Amino acid sequence: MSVFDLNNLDLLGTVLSFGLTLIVFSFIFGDNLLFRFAIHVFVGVAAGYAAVMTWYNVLLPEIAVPIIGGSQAERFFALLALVLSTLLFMKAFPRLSGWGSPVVAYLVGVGAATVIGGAVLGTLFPQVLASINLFDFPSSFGNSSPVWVQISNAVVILVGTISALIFFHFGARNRHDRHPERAAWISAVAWLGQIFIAITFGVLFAGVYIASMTAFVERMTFSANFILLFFQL
Amino acid sequence: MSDDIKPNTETSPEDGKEFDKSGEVQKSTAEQSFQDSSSDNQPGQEKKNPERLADAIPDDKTSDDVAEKSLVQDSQEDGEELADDQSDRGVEDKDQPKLVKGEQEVHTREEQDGPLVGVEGVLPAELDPYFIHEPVRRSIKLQVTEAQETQALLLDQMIKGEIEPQPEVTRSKSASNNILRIGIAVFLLVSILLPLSTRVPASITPPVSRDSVSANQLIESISDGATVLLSVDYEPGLSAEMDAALASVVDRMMMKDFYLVLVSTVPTGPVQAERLLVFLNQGGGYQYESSENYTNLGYIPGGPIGLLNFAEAPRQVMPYDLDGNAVWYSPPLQNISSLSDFDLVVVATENPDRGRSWVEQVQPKLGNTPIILVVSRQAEPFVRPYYGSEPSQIQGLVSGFGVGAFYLNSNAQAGFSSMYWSSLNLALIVGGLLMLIGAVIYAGKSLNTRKPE
Repeated sequence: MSVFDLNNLDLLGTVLSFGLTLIVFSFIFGDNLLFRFAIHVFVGVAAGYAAVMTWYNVLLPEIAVPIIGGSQAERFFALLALVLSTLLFMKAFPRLSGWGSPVVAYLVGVGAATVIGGAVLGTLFPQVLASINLFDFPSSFGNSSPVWVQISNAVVILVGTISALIFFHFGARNRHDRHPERAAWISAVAWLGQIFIAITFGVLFAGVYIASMTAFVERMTFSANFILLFFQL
Repeated sequence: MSDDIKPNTETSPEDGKEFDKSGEVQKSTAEQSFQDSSSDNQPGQEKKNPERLADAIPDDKTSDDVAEKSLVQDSQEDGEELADDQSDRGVEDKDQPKLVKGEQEVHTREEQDGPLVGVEGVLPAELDPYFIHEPVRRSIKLQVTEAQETQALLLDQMIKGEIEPQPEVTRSKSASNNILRIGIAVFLLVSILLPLSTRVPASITPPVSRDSVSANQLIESISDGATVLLSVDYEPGLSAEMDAALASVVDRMMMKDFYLVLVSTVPTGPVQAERLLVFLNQGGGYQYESSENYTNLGYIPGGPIGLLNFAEAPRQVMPYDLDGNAVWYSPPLQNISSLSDFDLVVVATENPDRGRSWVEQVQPKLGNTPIILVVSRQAEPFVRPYYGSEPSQIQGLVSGFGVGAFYLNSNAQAGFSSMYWSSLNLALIVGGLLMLIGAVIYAGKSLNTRKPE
């Protein structure tokens, strides 16, 4: 198969993709006009696509269709949404931005309630319960690991959790003729927590490194295959 | 015009005192100010606005009257200032005469002796001691502590730092830096292109993790033809890793002829999902068609709020597919009224926040329906606690290209893995070595440049 076996649209897309990939790679030689052009193209295309998707996937089915052909209740809610959206749009104009404030306040309030409620009930409480259950040895880890492994895991997680939390405790007592300092035991535990945090950051960096390298490899693979197909190699 | 200068006042022909038109005398404060201002009021000051003064003077008035008019005007202003001053200080006394402006100046008294006995509103001959006050002493030194002064200074410096233009940071464009950057790029390019050019198959296969095996077992335990909700929640920028990881899972589901319901909380997600299915159709020889084998409901707006809304009422939130069809009444979905009616939920994301939103907002609504997260390696540390905890909040976790691509033996995943794996392995090793060498060099340089104590 060669690239000329593709239909016109696919061929155009492949050539554009290859060209833009090379342009982005030109950043190796420093910032340049072509690289900036490619970045602007990406931003513009993403914004345009998001606008089209929003129209066809949100505004049309959620606002336009209910108003035109919906029931009385659907029309009411669609009109309400339209009015609130229009008020929110006023935020774009400095003189009328006050009209959008109630809508923003509503969104912030509902958003905060949703996120906080989810975080507390969906993450905090279950994870606290899970940390407690680590010391319930007969049931933890499905009884597949030896007890000493279960104990070690539980202790490491407990120490890591507590020490990392204590690292962020910055309270200090005032002392005469000396700068305020944290208590000695808090400093010691915080130092341990710092190690756990450093390891965590290392793991996160490794993940980002692998993800970025995968994207790089995929683009290089695509470029190499394009060249091989183009020259019938 | 004269009203502007001295409203409703005229001079008594007998003693030259000021009366308003209602027959009442100007307030005593004005007189006190008159005395004060008379010493300060120089002729030059009287001629501040000669035209206005000239307009204000009737023809039959004397020059003394003119001066007096001007002085009275000044005294009125002084009286007003004093009134304002008193009100500012919170001086409120019922017995104290109320000081008001213009015509509201009502402070009358009845003459007790002399030729004007019984006449109200006569100006007193001498100053009224009631209005003589000690000048209020105000300290001009700010009463703040040393700590407050320091904090104020810090705040001042911060604000100055914000408003002052910062000099542009000029990066060194030395040739050595360019050579170093190009050298690193060449190393990485060679490490990637070498396995591709030699077309050597992957010599090292990634280990199959326990998580992947669990996910596989979970999928296998679900009967063929089940209805699965699949959320493609990753950006195109990281599609290389996510496509490879998700392809193996979706490939297995397509082998079992699952009916897929596609959604996304990312605007580009619906297209990513379609693209993945096209790739799997080509690579795995499937014939997955829209409406027949899958439905793409599109983009769920609103972030966590939209997700919660969708979890509570999927039919109302996403009534149509991308083509505008009311798909919930089609045979595969007519029995689905809530997310707990799905047989499996699979979420693919590279963003830990999106993964967390699914766990926090949707998972509690799923009931007994299992959920599998397919995540990027960079998001894995954030979502692993949901899987490794007891009780676990998610029932399967497939992370990254390396682990995800090989846990199932199918045509599609083999295509992905054979393309990337050798190059990725070598590039990761070379990149890690370059970082290590750089760290050693910079550590040596810093040791050499450190001054001996």
